[in-house]
Amino acid sequence: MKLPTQIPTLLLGTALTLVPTVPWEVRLVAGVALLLSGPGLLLAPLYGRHPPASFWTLVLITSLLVQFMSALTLLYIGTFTPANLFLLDLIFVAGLWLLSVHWPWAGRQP
Amino acid sequence: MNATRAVIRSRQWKDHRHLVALMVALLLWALSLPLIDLSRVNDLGLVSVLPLSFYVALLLLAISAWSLLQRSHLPEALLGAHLVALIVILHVTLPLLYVVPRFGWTYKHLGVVDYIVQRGRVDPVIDAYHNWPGFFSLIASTVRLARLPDALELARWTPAAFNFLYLLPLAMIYRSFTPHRRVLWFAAWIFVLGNWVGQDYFSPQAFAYLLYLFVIAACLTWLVPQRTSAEPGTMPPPLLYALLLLSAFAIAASHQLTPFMLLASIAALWIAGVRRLWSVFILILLVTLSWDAGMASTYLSRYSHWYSSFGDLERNLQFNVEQPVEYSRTHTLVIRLTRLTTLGLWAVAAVGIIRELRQKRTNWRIVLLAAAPFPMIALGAYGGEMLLRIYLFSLPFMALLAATVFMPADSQPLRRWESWGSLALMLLLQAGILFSAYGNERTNRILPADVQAAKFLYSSAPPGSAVVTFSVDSFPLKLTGDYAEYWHLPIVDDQLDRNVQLTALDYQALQEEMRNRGIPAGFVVFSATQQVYAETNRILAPGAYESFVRIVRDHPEARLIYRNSATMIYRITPAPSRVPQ
Repeated sequence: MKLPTQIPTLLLGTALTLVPTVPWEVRLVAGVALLLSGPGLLLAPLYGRHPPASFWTLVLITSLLVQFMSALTLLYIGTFTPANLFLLDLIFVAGLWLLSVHWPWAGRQP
Repeated sequence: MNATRAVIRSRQWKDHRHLVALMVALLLWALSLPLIDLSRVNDLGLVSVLPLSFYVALLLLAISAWSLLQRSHLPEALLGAHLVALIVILHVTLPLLYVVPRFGWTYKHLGVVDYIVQRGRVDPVIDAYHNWPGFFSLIASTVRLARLPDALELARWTPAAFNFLYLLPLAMIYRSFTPHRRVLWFAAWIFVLGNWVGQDYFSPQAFAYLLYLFVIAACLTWLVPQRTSAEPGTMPPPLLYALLLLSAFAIAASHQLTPFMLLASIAALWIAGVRRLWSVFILILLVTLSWDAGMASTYLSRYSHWYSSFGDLERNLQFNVEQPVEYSRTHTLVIRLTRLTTLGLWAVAAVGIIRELRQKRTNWRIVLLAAAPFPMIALGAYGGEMLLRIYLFSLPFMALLAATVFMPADSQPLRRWESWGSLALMLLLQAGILFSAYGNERTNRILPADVQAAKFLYSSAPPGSAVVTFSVDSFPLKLTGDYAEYWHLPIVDDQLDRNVQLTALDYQALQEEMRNRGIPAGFVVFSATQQVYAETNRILAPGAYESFVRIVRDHPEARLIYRNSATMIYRITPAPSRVPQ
């Protein structure tokens, strides 16, 4: 699961989510896939060595938390729009990625 | 060489047999669905209408999974497929049959999501949901991003989805305690069969429970792993603490009770000697108190009943163990079987503790985690549901303790009593969940006609008018984002009233209440589900419902404005003003 190879999937997922003529069931599946693949793709190469249960739990929970924080933040600042949700998702994912990769203590054993 | 090939061939043949059993079980289940006649459900619940093929499917699945667990070399993919099939049979059946989400109270949650989708904000004055809106904002963001018409379809499939999701952190928790895969798989099977309390529906508590499991799993796996842990404990501390902080925040912002259950579990681990978790405890406590004192202060300052029972152990116990309404002999059987299943599972878990104590290898982390939710009964009565929540939060660990009774912590073949005992437990729990989880289907079911009527009502009734129902739990009330603009007047109290007779005086009282509150119009909803709910639970006396239908129908100012196969809506007017015009 490397980022460059997954870019077409991400683009397709985004397109399916945004095009209004796509049936809502397909948009939902594409949206959930996107929700999981964003943080999953960024964090997966770092934690791919974990067993499947913990790896997929990490991907799932990270994705949920990113979306959760974006939604709750926008709810309280009153700018709950799809564009802002996307933007804040990206900021949160980038934050988590920085914490896990470029933080001075990253990679040390807890 | 030939011997090795023969072993591999034999294993493959056995795997094929189990795969066939799995496919046949799923086929039988699928074939049984069209044979289920929901109109014939009686006080035994769903079991009263399940065809033989449904039971055969479950039996075949259990025997196949049990047989897999006997093998020294566990085919985990096959075991996983069996577990998935079990969740499908248990949690996909009703969404397929009902077409719309189960439980009347699910629809209030849909209303809050709709409110956020429409307005992009919350109003803490409206109700508790607006003070802990985390889950609703997450769902609203999904609805907005995927531009779904509403969250109705999401709500329908939520129980199955949550049960699948729970397995991931659950596997981490079990792997942190034991390297023996047989114990892990059997415990997961027990968890799925023991999860009958119905808190996996479209609700903040179901979401918070997932995060609760994750926090415990993350602590046990990455923060304080045991030597026996099967998981390699590597995770950069900043990321780990960030995820724990965000999880604690998401739990605190979504559900009132779950943070305290989490604190109890972390405290239990601390007592078990995991001193390093004090920082996590402080983190969760601070986040919870900050949310409750800050964002949820509007609600907490207005409604003291939420914490007024704090510390009143006797009253809380009394409120939680009071006799439920036993409205028929068959329903009494359902209640007794539910209690038996629960106490039976706890008893097997207790045997697991005794067995480990005798063998001097007790893992106190598991025991204390299983016990941690019980003192929470002192925290509050929680509307009489605290015992159910205690059961739910102790279930992952009770299931593990129960699994250790029959699955020894080594790779030796199972002894005869262990082998047959594990099958007996699987079958008993399987039978138990059909009664405990689906024994109230006469009153839990919502009809598509009810949803259509509710949608019509909220789209056509002018804001400020009253929605009048017989109960607040058996009609999809408040399912749209405009719900706060209406008065909701139940004719009877679901919790307190019993065997109520309704007369013209009650209608008059309703009209007077509308006049006194300045409500310009009322909409009385009659529906088959409300009638079943109110009569089954003995809220209304026999004949009271029909009597009230006649009173409203015959009133000169009442007007029938909507009718479908199961619902009628009458528009009524307030009592005339006492002041001469």
